[in-house]
Amino acid sequence: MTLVTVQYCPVCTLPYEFCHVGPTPEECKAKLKALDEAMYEKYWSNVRIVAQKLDDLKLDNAAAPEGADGASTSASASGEQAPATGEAAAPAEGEEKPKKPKKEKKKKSKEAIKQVTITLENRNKRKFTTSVEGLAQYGIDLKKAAKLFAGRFACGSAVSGEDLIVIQGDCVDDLMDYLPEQFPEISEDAIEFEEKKASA
Amino acid sequence: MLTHFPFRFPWLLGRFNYKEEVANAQQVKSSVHRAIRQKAVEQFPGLEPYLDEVMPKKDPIHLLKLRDSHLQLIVVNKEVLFFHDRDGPYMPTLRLVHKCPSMITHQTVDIGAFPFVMRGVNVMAPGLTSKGGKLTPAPVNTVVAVMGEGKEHAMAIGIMKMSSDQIKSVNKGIAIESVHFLNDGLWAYKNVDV
Repeated sequence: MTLVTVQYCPVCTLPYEFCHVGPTPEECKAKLKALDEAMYEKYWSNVRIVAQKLDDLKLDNAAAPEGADGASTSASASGEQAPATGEAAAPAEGEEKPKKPKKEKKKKSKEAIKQVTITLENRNKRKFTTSVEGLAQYGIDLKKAAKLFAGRFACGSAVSGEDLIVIQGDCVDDLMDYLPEQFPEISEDAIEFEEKKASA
Repeated sequence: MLTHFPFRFPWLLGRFNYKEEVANAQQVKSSVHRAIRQKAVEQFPGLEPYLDEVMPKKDPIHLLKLRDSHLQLIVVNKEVLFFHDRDGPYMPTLRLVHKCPSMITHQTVDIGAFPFVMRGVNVMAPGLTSKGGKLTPAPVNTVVAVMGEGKEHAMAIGIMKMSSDQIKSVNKGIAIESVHFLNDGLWAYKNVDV
């Protein structure tokens, strides 16, 4: 017996027939139109009927003219179609890309400031170490700082390497508060948090 | 059997973070492998002709245990095929049901229910008994696929909270509890790395 192969929309990952109820109907619509005219016709001409049926359910009056030009793809077929194609291009660009520029911006702004990086590392499933990098830039005595953390968080803490303090345990949230409190010269914006991915 | 409902499905909230939710991933030994295959076929006799294709004997099965719950995901070839709670029934994922639709009982909801089903809302009885819906006879607690009127593919997986006869006679309240729907967190969880 052979398995059914279902084609999924590259935009919203749903089967094409569900694009219109998915998260990004307009984008999917534009994409499919560009990809495959026949498929587009198959799924989206149907949508008009679906929409119509919904209207029927709500208003309980038949929309006769829709059925007449249902075959032609002309944008005039339904009210929602006209704005749809126009909007489609804009959100498609807007939604996919915002992640990257944001990250870059963050990095740039932080290179300007003296940056303190807090890294959470997963040692053994539930065991973590927190490392703090960049304190020396502020002229802080690392050894003293390490002892301070050890006392404050009741855990092991040691200088390990140049400008690097490793604290045993997950102290990220505490550090976020404690660092600016203890060293007023460090602004909260200068602290960056990174999580190293655990190897599962 | 089947006493643990309702319970929590983290992916129904839309997010499903592998790193946070999965506590433990493990390849199963061959005896468990056999047991899983057997249980799957027992529960979904319609799956049998496809079984060697979706769960080949040679391909390892991985069990992912979820944190803070007793849910387990059954993963073969980087794809989640089933999930279940404790020793509860296996519930197939939509990707699997799309591949072999005949494995599971279908219940069809009318068009008015679409937006709700797509948000993971439980299916109410009128959605099945109205004109567009189609109610297939099934006892209470059956795992079913929720199909949409005029659609080819399943849009949700659910559990019958009433038997089909009850749904017909009562025609009110929750008929199918949604456990997995299109575009939820589990749907987005593909290419599983174990």
